[in-house]
Amino acid sequence: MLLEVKNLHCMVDGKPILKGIDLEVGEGEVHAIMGPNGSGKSTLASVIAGNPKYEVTEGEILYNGKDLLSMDIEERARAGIFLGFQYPVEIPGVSMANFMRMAVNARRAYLGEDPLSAAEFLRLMREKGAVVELDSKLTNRAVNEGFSGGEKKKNEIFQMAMLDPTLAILDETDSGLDIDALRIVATGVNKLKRPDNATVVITHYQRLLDYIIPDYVHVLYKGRIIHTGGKELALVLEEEGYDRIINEYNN
Amino acid sequence: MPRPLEEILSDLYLSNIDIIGEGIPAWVNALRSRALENFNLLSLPSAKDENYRHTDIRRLLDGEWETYFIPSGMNREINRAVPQSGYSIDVVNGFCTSNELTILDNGIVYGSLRTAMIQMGDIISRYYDKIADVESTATSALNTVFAQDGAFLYLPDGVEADKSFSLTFAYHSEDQAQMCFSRALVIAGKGAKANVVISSVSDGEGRFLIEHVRETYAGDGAEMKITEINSCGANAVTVAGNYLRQESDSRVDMVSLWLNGAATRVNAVTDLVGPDCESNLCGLYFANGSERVDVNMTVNHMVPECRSSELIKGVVSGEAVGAFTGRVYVAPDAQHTEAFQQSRNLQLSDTAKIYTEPQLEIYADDVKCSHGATVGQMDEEAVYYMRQRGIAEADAKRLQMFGFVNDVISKCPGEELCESLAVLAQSRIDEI
Ligand SMILES: Nc1ncnc2c1ncn2[C@@H]1O[C@H](COP(=O)(O)OP(=O)(O)OP(=O)(O)O)[C@@H](O)[C@H]1O
Ligand SMILES: [Mg+2]
Repeated sequence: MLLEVKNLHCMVDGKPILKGIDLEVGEGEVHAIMGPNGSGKSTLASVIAGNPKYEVTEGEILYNGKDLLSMDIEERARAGIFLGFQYPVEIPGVSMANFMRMAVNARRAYLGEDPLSAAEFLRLMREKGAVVELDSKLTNRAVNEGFSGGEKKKNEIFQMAMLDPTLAILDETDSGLDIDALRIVATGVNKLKRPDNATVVITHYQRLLDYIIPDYVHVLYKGRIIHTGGKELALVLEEEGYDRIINEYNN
Repeated sequence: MPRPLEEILSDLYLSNIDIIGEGIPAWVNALRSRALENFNLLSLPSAKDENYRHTDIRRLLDGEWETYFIPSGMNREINRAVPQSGYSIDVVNGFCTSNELTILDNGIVYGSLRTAMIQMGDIISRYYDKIADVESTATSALNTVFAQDGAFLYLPDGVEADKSFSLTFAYHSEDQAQMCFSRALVIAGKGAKANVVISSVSDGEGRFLIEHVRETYAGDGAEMKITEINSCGANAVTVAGNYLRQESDSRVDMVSLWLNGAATRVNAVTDLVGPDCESNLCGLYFANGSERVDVNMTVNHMVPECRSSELIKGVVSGEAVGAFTGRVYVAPDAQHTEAFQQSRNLQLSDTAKIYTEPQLEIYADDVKCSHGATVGQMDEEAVYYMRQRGIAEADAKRLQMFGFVNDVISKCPGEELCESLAVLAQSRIDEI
């Protein structure tokens, strides 16, 4: 199993947010996580990525059978965990190229590969930029600085393409995208899909799942996964909202 | 009862008056006597002086400084901050390494300020000591008293230089602590265009008090790019007065970098005296360990329709102190002035201190002026974001800091210069 989350509890600023999450993600699978605002979706993604703001109080996470929680943020990333941020961060003065070169070479070093030469790196940038139809002007700018909301999201998928992760968690990568951008991003994600990697998409909208077909759909509510179904669950949720499932769960 | 510092310095001049003024035209030596009077009248600012709250000038000047009134340290290789390019002038311990003036076909003259005083008195006397504030700034008056040589650059009207100019002020000491007076005079005539790189460097551990005054004149419609790199050793103390006067329609883009030095106090004064000038002033300083940097910038909008913008960034760590005071004066009839000022600072340790203070004195009513200041720590979110991409924490911090400073460095003219400055900044960041 690629990822095993077992009875995960976490707190932020002394406030419990995740209250016993169980989740298994296998190779080649696509999982969708849905749920009302504030239910803990981004928190789960952050804990997997290793955001130090969140304190794990109980439970464990195994990644390829290894204890993930004892690994540093960068170690996890190099081992193939990628988080597409709900709110990508602007880093003024740091060029996309510089930033990506360090990131790609860190991942390559972990995989025992030599760093890319400048020419190879540029070729990779161009090739992967094409996957998400990212304007090459953007890759010449500072990381996310002055990018529009949609451009920031495309840039996340571009970075994912550059880093070729084993487990990609995309936190609301679809919000703020127009129809064309949504299709481009979703196609990009599908192009990167392989039998030995996995994708977790966090979303509020069924429309993304028209493009990225999930094997499982989970509903997160108040820090717990209260329901899991197949791809048709997203359609049901779109139709009737979360009320019925929440009521069933409360009873 | 110790003797007052003013008296000690006056005596130093009076007992060396012959050697200091030797071979220098009488009109220059007359300026010295006048400057000495001013200096004594003004006296050095005390620690209580509002404008010198962050720098105790008296303590900096008070010490067992050796002063030579003849060239010294000339035989040593100059430890340059950036590779030399274009036309260059080297000044060591205040004296130009060559007595010759170079005259280019297009009329540009550069070389020893002393030689220029002797050979080009009619031109020099119109600018020398006229741009610097020797009337109310005691340290600048003191420079006029002692300065014997320095760098000189003159661009006649309408001339565009084909290459850049490098003015290097190097300080080389033997074992003793040394006080050096150095001076620069840069004149761009009407419509002249030039790119000038001015650096100040010292050899490794040497202890110096560097007393520097630079006068820059941009005539009507002149366009100047000035890059100033201060990269003196950890034991160097710098007291500088950098004066710029801009006539109508002129444009000056200046980037000043203060990379290191035990203590640095800079008075940078820009006088916009003709309408339609543009002055873009950027600065970046680093202060680490127990270093102190105190930048005092003044932009005087004396006439209508001028634009000035200032962006000053500071990176302060350890127990260092960084101070920026930005004074903008807009004269009563200087309508349609645009003056913007930003001070951005990165405070990397709790024990480091940053003082940033805008001082706006606006006496015209139809103006656009703004100022802003921020003091921040590292952006933890950005560090997290970079680490999530696999970049080690230390590298992420370095990258972010570099991003912060690169904003200023990238404004320097020319890719090569930017690259060498980026390397300098990076090595400074790596020390933090
Ligand atoms: N740093 C923090 N300090 C305090 N509370 C926090 C912090 N971060 C998250 N929370 C709280 O944790 C809960 C879960 O937040 P989270 O961002 O994980 O929700 P989400 O499911 O991603 O919501 P959305 O759909 O709006 O993105 C919310 O109630 C939120 O206010
Ligand atoms: Mg969220």
